[in-house]
Amino acid sequence: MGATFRDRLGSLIMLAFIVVLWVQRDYTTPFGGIFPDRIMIIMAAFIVMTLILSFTPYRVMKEGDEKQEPETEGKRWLEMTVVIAIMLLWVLLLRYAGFALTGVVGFGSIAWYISGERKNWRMIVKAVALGLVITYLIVFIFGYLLQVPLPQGEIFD
Amino acid sequence: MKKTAIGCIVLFALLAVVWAGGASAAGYPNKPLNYIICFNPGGESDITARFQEQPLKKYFGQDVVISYKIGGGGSVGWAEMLRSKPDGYTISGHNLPHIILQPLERGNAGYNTLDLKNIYIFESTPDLLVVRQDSPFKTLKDFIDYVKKQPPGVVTVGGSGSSTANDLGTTMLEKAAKIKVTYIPFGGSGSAVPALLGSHVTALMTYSTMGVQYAGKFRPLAIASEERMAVLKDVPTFKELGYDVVEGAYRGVAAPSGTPDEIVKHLAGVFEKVMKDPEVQKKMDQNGFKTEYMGPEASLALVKKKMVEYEAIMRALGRIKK
Amino acid sequence: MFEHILLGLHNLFTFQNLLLVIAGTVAGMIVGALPGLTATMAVALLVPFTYTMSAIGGLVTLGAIYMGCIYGGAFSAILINTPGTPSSIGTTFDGYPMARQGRGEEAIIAATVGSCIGGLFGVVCLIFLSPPLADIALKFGPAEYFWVGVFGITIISSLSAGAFLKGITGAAFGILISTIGIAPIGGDVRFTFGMPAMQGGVELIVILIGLFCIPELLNLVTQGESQSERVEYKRARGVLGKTTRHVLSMPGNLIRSSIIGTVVGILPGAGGNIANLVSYNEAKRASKTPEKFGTGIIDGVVATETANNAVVGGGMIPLVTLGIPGAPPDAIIYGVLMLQGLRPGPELFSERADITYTFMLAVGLSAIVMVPVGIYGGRLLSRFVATLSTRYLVPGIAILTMVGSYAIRNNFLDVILMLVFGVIGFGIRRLGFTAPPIVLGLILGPLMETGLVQAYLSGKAYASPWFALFVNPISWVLIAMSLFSFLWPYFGAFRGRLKVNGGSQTSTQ
Repeated sequence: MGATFRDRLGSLIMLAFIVVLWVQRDYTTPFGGIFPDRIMIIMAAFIVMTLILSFTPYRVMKEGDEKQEPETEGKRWLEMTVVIAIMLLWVLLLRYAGFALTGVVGFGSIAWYISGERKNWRMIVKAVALGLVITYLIVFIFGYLLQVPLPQGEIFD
Repeated sequence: MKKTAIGCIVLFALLAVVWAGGASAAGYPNKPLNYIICFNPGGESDITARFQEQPLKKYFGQDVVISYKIGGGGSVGWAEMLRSKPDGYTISGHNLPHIILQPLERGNAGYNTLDLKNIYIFESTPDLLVVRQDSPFKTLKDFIDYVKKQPPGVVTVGGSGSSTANDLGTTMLEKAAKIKVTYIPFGGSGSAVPALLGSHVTALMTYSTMGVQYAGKFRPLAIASEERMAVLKDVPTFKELGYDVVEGAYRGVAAPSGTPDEIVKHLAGVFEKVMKDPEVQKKMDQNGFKTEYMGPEASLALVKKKMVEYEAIMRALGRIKK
Repeated sequence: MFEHILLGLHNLFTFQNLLLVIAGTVAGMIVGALPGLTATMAVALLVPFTYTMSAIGGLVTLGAIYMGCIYGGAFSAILINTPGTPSSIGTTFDGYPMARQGRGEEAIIAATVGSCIGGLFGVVCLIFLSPPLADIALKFGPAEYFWVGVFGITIISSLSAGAFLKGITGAAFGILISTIGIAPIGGDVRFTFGMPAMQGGVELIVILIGLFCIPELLNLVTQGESQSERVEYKRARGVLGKTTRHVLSMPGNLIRSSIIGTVVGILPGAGGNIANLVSYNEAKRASKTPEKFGTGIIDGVVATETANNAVVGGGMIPLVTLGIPGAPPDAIIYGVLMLQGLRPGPELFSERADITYTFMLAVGLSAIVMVPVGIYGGRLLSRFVATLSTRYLVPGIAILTMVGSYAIRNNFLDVILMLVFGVIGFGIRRLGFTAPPIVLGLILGPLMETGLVQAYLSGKAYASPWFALFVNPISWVLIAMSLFSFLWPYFGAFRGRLKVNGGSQTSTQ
């Protein structure tokens, strides 16, 4: 991704965000909109400035800054997506299966997946066992010691 | 490694069984009580709950866990509480006028006023109009005369939040005295205090508790209750001075709508004992709270009465959302 | 006053109270290090434990927990780029790069020394300067808070290292996110996407975890098992002495950061979270090597950690003199004071002086206790995290993010939001939008809005209500500071261009 493309794409995404909020405006009091409206307008102005500048030689973001982000090849994208997918599933099931269960499964599956040695059953056992220990520790510290309620899981009620 | 894993699994299974099993059987109550506070720590609801916590544990017989679900002026906490199991182990503090005004003004506040099953209303804090100790206004008359001389809306009166008792009290005063001030909402009674002390607003329409707490720094001009409060005995009521302004916040506890009546009655009894506890009474009086003793029926009647009242006021002001 | 201090010391150095200070500090540190648990929560959670204690015991414990918690946030900020408490956001800027370079222990030591000094400074101000400082705090009205917010936003011009437009857009993005929910004035329901659950707004911690933690988590995933990217943990000898001496050799940084922290703490409406960011900005500005900030320079860590611990003492100043909490945890301590029948005000300093001074000294003591515990524990922790294989580190962090984002409000939506913002954060980072400006906007949005609208409402006396923003002399000072802060990086570049002829230096102009 070249820097100009980045600038333009970023600007468009931010602009889309503003539009999404703008259409939701539904103020019933005179005060609700004083601040957000102005911020949205100012933000839009900056975005337009960035867009315009992307057509000039002036660079908003220096080319060198990209070095901060490690380059990712295709395989790595897949791994990241899978981890996010696991976490998403984890989050969605959290309410229904409870923290204890999803914690063990979630921890275990991420640990197993990242390890690279997926066929190795020893790896699976290690991942699940560690998941159990960590989850139990968290349930103990948070749920019991600190009395912070953790999701119990609705299917267990 | 494998042995450790199996050991862990067994241990975990055992614990899971123990945990799950503990909650069944026996009579009510056999689990801790979850008392949800829907407002910021340090506010009136929180302080009252802290006063109640120890006696509550004693009279309820089990642990009491106070947790906070803050947001939306209380609406997030109430919506959450309504979604929990109606088994009598989850209650939340509730406030009038908030629970009435929010659904009216917002259209969809995430809950309906009557979904909250009233257990008990245990306190009220009448509105109190205060100015600084060194302000030129010595009586309510001085203040009202001053306001009438200014262009409408120039004089500022601060208070806690929008659609709260402070807000309503100011509106009612405006109507009764035929004056126009600008009400400035702050994020809580505590946030409004520096504004008055620093002279950023001319007066505060706050709660009786603030009048007691800042006795040396504030001069209360009038209190919006039916009769004078003992702890503020030198403060005349609005009614005495000829203005029909009776307003304040009522605080109590409520449970989800499906909670069985016997459990509600049991909890009401517990709270009654708590509020009659001499230690609690002392703390309430000292701090400017007015203790109320309204059980389930009395509090429901109050809520319904206020619903009619407020709907009329809000409609007249055009603040109801369809 | 001095006899009160002696009395306080005498009360403090009892076996029971000392034990409470140590236990409280350690507990606070642990809670602070866990992302998602804030100092406010820690103090609130531990209040019931204090019921069985005397008034002094309870207050001493809570004070120690608070101080320890703010310090503890540095650990996760440095080791996993997730601020354990929002007051350590700035510590991630240089702390995490240091950890990635294998200098995690150095960062932790710097954070420890800084936190200790900042904490002590705040407490000293509390003990000796409370009344005059509290009076100054009162002079800040709605308009002033608005300008404080604006001043905070101008920090972006130095935070985003030249990509100013992206930074300010990110800040505006953060501000708009903060408007989601109920408007502070008027109670309008805004931008809830049709879901009543969103009326509670978006919680800061949730976004923090999402924006700071998840992208780094994903980066760790891409490193996979190839440990080549992860530098070998250098177990250097004498790091402790060397780093401590290094930190103590920057008195300007330490004093300035302490003052910033105390001042931010005193302002009731400001909250403590911006102290570390303002301090970081000022340290960068005063430094001779500002370009090194963000790459792992120790000054950055010292600036942020010193400031945030100074907030602890500073925030208690309006609390004990006026009963107004300077920062959210103080609100809880206020509740406890009420519970014990201790009325804030002059009474606390005269009739109940024994309790008050013991309490204040205890908070100071906990700042000292943090040092041995932090250095020893921090060493262990940083070695542990550095040598832990990513295959366990990643799920470990993942599970902590789940717990942290749920624990704050017991709201499942928060956990989902955390993940959503995590992915968004990861994506927009590649487009040039980094996390700090967004988070800055998120923190300062409510502050600015409340100040702006309240000032506007008070303005009927003037020709235009907006004039209310400009009447108070304090506002002028703040406006001048904001302009100065905003234009500074450009001055710097301008001077750079003048000095270096031939333009071998890339300038931001």
